[in-house]
Amino acid sequence: MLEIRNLHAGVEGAEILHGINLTVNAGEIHAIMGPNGSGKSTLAQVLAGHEAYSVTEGEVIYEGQDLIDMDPDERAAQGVFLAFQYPVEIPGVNSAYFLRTALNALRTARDEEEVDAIDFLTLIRDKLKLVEMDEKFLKRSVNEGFSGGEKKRHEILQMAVLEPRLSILDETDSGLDIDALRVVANGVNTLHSADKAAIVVTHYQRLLNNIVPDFVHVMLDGRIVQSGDKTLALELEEKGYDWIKEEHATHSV
Amino acid sequence: MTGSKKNTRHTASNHTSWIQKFESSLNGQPLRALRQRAIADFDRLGYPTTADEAWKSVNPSALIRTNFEPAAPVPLADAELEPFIYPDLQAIRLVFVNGHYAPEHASDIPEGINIANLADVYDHPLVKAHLGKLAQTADLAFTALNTAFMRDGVFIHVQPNITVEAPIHILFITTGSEIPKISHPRNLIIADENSQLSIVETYAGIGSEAYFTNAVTEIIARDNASVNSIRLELQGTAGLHVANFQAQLGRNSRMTFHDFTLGGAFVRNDVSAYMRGEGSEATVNGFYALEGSQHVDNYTLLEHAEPHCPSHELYKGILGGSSRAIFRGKIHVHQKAQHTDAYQQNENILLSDNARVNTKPQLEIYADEVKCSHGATIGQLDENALFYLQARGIPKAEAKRILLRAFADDIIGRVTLAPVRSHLSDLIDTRLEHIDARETA
Repeated sequence: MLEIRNLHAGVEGAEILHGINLTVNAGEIHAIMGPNGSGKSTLAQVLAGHEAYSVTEGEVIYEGQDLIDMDPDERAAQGVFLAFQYPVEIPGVNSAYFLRTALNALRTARDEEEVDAIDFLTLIRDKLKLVEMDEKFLKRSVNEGFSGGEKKRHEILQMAVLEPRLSILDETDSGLDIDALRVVANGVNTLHSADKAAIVVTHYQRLLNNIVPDFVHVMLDGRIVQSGDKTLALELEEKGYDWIKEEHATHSV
Repeated sequence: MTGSKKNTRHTASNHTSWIQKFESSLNGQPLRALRQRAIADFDRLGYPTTADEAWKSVNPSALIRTNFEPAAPVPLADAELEPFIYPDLQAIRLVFVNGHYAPEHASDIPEGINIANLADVYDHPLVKAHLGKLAQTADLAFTALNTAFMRDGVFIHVQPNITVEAPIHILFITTGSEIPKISHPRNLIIADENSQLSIVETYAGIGSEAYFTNAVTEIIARDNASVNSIRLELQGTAGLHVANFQAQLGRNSRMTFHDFTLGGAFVRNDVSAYMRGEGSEATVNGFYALEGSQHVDNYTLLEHAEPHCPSHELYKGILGGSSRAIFRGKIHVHQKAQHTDAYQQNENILLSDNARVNTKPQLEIYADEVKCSHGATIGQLDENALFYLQARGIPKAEAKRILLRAFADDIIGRVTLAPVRSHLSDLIDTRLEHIDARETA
């Protein structure tokens, strides 16, 4: 589904990603772990198409298409979704309008018929249950005044409505209490299927107790330095990142 | 300096010759003394220059150097009025074309309310008593000019305890012509004790020629009265528009004013609310959306003269091209005005590197127990919000439109007359699309 080859990217001339290689197949969940500043979030933003980052080398092939040349909305129309680490507050735009506009933009891009307000309400009620959110959220401005947990659940609500094929979850667990973490993980698991894939970017192992990855990759200084199965995450939890830093430092000498 | 002063004199003397003609036609009619005082004030003041504190940033004499001629009445077909009429608004309507009352376009006036063309009621005791009392001419050159030359406009008097159900729509239209025209609309509105009314003022232009509209509106809201006022400025692309809106509020009265500035080459709005009665409340909000080389000044004054008066003020603007906006909001709290609660905010979005905004709050507070807050923002469209919307599949152009619209909705949504709100909403949508299209072209 996704093939990242020798990806170099950065912001304002400073390279942050120094050659990422990653293959994600349908049905798989990949966890990307690493200490702060290792480039995990940059990778997530680059995949979603944030203008502030420029790709200087390498390629990202998604479903046989070059993702780098696409605008963020085109990527979304192709089924790429980023759950933001810091969801943006949009005063004056209520959540219901935002979600319906987004859904209809995707449907229009795919030559499908738009969903009217009544059908949308039926659809959204169902999705709200999944993330245990109250209907009153729909009337509030997008993310404005939401608690940390509400923002993250709202991200998963969007994922449920837009039904992406490739979901990138950027530190979705940060700032969550144990209940919210359970709700978010349950949402992601429910939405996962054999024809979909997810990349879960996280600093801690605890999310991976609830969302069980098929592969775990460790990022360090803009490179994936180690890959393994879910036991790698447990090892990191136990020993921290220092041993991997040391090992990597020795190797590169 | 000397050069500009000379120029001012030249233009002023031009107007002196007009008033001689105008006065001879008056033939001892009322208001003669008022007009004479006004023209004397104007002659002394001259057109403002950048040396005047209130006109620092723009030199209006350069804009007004054109020899504007008093505009003649022109018959207008109903179809030409249509774009400026609110389709679902059951309004009492008065139409003025080139400054002249056009009774053929007026709607029927219900009983219990006194509405007339000002020129027909100069000798009404309320007109004699109040015209020119709020809008003083001693310091304001354009108000002086208006007072000297005023003729048509509306006079409204609502009796005590009367609620005027239908909003009153006052439409001033200027038609284009080769010779630049000037008109001086003048309105006097008196809402007696415990009365209620809504007014919509529209100033619009047809055609792309230069003209000058110099309007003055005086509103007196007596004790417990409630006045809901909306003003829409849709002047033509070369139109000059100077408007002075002054309201006086009696005890426990309320006044809300929403000002939308969308058209015109040069626009200067002076808005003041004088809270002269204890417990009166003034809400003054504004929105401007500019493009090209438009220049819009909003000068507001909230005068807290008595205790326990809240005032709310929010002005928001969107600027493209090389347009320029100035906001100056003054809150003046008199020593006596304890427990004043005043809030002022001005927010701007610049869509272009060449657009400019100057915003200046001014608080003058002489009372001890007051709550006053103010703030101002000038920035670009939020890039993170744009990316967030785009990442959800919304194309950039639509994402921009959604964000700009949400910004404007903050003001549009406060307009309580639904048919006006929905018409404004469409107008502003079209306007924002146009501005954005010019930016991205």
